This record gives sequence, structure tokens and C-alpha cells, in this order.
Amino acid sequence: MSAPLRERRTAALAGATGIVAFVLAWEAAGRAHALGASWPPLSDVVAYAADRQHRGLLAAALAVTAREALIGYVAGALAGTLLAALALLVPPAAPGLERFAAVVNGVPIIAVGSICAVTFPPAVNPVLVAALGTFFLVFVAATAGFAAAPRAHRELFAALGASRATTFARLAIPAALPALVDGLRFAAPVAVVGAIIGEWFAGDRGLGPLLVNAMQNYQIALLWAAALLGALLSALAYGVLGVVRGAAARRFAP
Amino acid sequence: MTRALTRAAAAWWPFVLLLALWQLAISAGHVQQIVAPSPAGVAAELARNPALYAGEALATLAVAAAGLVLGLAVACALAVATWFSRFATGALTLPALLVQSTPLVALLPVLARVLGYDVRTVIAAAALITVFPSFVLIAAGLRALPSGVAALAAALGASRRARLLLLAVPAAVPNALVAVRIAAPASVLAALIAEYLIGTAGLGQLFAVAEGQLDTARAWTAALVATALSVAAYLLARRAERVIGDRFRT
Repeated sequence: MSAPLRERRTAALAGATGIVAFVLAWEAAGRAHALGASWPPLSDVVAYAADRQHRGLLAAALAVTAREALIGYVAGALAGTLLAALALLVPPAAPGLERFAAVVNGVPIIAVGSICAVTFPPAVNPVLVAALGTFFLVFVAATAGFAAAPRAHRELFAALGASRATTFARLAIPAALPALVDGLRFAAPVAVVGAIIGEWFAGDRGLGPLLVNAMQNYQIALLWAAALLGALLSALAYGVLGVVRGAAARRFAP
Repeated sequence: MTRALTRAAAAWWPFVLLLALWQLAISAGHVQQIVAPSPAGVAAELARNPALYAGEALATLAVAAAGLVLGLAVACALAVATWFSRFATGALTLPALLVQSTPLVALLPVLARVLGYDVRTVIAAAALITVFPSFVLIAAGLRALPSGVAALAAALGASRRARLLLLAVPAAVPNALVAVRIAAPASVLAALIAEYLIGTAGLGQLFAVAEGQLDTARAWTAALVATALSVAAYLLARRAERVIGDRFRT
């Protein structure tokens, strides 16, 4: 076994031990009622979610949220990458595009939530919020990535008379990939939480309404089960993109 | 003169576009006045009570800044912990994801019960929203050394501490600045939501009271001032990134 592979396997084992430690700590804290009645042991939450009465409801809600988050994520990631590329290729447009991204990100959901609710159908709002959150993060990561090409390389491209398109395709994109994949990675949980928030303010199905119901009726197990499913969905997307990131970082390391 | 005008237009068109779309939506009659005021209505409201909005904006800004500093400090500590140990990566990533994937509106009641219905909860909310992206970015930055540098330092007998302070931390600076660009506007909006739900002061509370009285002009003005603060925080962080980041890039 090669040394890097062994290193990665040891790292994965240590990471898994860390996850187990967190799960055990949660269970122990819940059993000891260390944090009060609103913090149940993890096994209670899992038992509640696995119960035949509840699992259909939770699975259906999870599927709705996952679908909304995925559509919003893809749309937002595409828009963020394209606008960042546009800002790089057309420098005069860059300041305006930056402000556009900042304004889109700066609109408070508590103010526009009610307007979205009356303007768009309930199924659209969660996708919209997920897309906007993803868009901003990916835009920021992509603009930072495009600026990450080493100065010596940029000067070399300029000295050799490379066209703007060549410089973009052969220098900016490879240099941006690690940062861009990082952005795509931490945007995944944001897409999930965006979908849930969109459901919360202006949707009718999914994990968001379950959370609202559980809070209003003080159903602690349901509250935690819904929150945990959202977290697991995020963790799944985050883990998959972590593998992609590792591959990109090894291939395109400076 | 014309060049300065062109440059200003190139930079600020999103705001003009937003105002135009807004006015168009109001004029076209799709949105009732009770749901949303016109841009002129908001401008008049702002001109009537400039001191009120300035005061509440300062309150929100102070709370957001405190949350931003706290959140970044926690994120740095977590990132350094994961730099030292993969075990910490495993133990910290899942809870961080759990906090990140739960809407702030659901976390706030829990936070308020623990910290109290006052400014501490608002600061905690602003901090919480900034931790996850900053943690991920800074942790990635700490490992973003040119290949071979870490191995060389180890071969030369540099201690882990020395490698952290002299190699990893400088390498993480560009990513940390990106983290600020994401976290600064987010902390303003998180402070707004927390003030809206439990606060005793600030733009969020102003919004909540105005909304309760169906005073949409005031509610919208408060929300727009918050948006302006968030955009200003972004642009300021962007400038800092350009100025400082260049010195740390290879």
C-alpha cells in the first residue's frame, strides 16, 4: 500500500471515530437530561423516525426537500459560476455584478417571504431560496478562485501573448477549481437549509412545515427527527463533494 | 466627468434595476399598497425619521459585528483543531452540519431559552450563521500549501507548531478573507432575523413592530436599511480581500 493511500485510510478512520464520539456524547447527554427535556437522547429520535407511523411522513417530507434543494442547488451553482466567469472575462462589468450578487444576498427573507408567498406557487419558493443562497456562495468562491492563479503564471501568459480566452480556459479555470469545488461543497448545506427556510415561510410541503408543526405543538422527537434528516441530507451532499474536492485538489494543486 | 459617470453606472446598475422593477411591480398593480410600499414611499419615510433609522442601524451593526468577530474566532479555533487532528474533523463536522442545516428560525427559540431573551442571543445567532462557511474555508486554507512545502518543513525538523504558524496560517489568509466576505453580510441578516423574533432593539425589532401595526412603509424601510448594511459589509470585505489578499498570494 502506498504511503498517501495509507495516510488517507488512517485519516478516514480517525474521522469515523470522531463521528462515533459525537453520536455517543449526544446519547449520553440526552440520557442524563443534561440539557433539559428539549434535548432527547439520539436513540429516542431514531426510534421515533423509524416508527412505522412516522417514517412514511418523514420520508415523503425528506424527498420533497431534497428535490427542491437539488434543483435550487444546480440552478444557483450554474448562475454563480457563469456570472463570476462573466465578471472575469468582461472586467468593466465586474463591479456591477459584484453589487448584484451582494444585493441578491442582502434581501431579508422576513421582508420578502410574504410577497413571495402571494406571488409564486408554494412549490417554487423553496427552490428559489435554495438557488439564491447557493448562487451567492458559489459566486464568491468562483471570484476568489479566478483570482488564485499564481502571479508568475499570469505574467507568463501575458508575455507569451495568450488571448483572453486561452488565459481563461488554460489558467483561470484550472487555478479556480479547488476554490470553486470548496464553494460548491459548502453551498450544499446552504441549499438544504434554503429549501427548508423557503418551505417555512412560503411552502406547503417538506421538512420546513414539519419543523413549524413540531415547534408549535412541542413535539420534541419530531422536531429533532426533521432537523436530523435535513442534517443527514446536507452531510451526504457534503461528503460526496468532499471526495470530488480531494480529487480536484490532488490534480490541480499549485 | 463622463468617464466617472460611466464608471458609476457600471458599478451601480443593479440598484437602479432593482428600483425600476420594484416601481414597475407596484405600478402594474400586482402588489397591493398594504403588502408593499413604493420606492418613493420608502424614501419619504427615511427622510421623515433619519435619526430613528440611523440609531437602529447602528444597534444592528454593533450586534452583527460582535457576532462576526465571535463566529470567526470560533471558526478559526475549530479549523486549527482539525489541522492538528483528523479525529477532530470527524467529531466537529457532523454537529457543524447539523447547526448549518437547521434554519436559524428553528434554532432561535432553543438559543433564547439557554442565553435569555436579550442581546446575547442575537449576538449568538449572528455568530452561529458565520461559523460553518468560515470553518470550512479556513480549514481548507490551512492545508492549501504548495506541494512539497509541508514535507520539506517536516524534513528540516520544523515542529508542528512552527509549521502551523509559519506555513499553514499565512497560506490560509486568502481563504479567511473570502470567509469574511461571506460571513459579514450573513451576520447582518442573522442579527436582523434574531432581532425580529426575540430582539429588544435594532432594525429587526423595528421591522417586527411596524409589521404588527401594518405600517408597511416603515417595515420596508427597516428591511432596506438592513439590505444596505449587508451590501456595504460585503463591499468592505471585498476591498479588504483585494488589499490584504494580494500580499499573501504566491
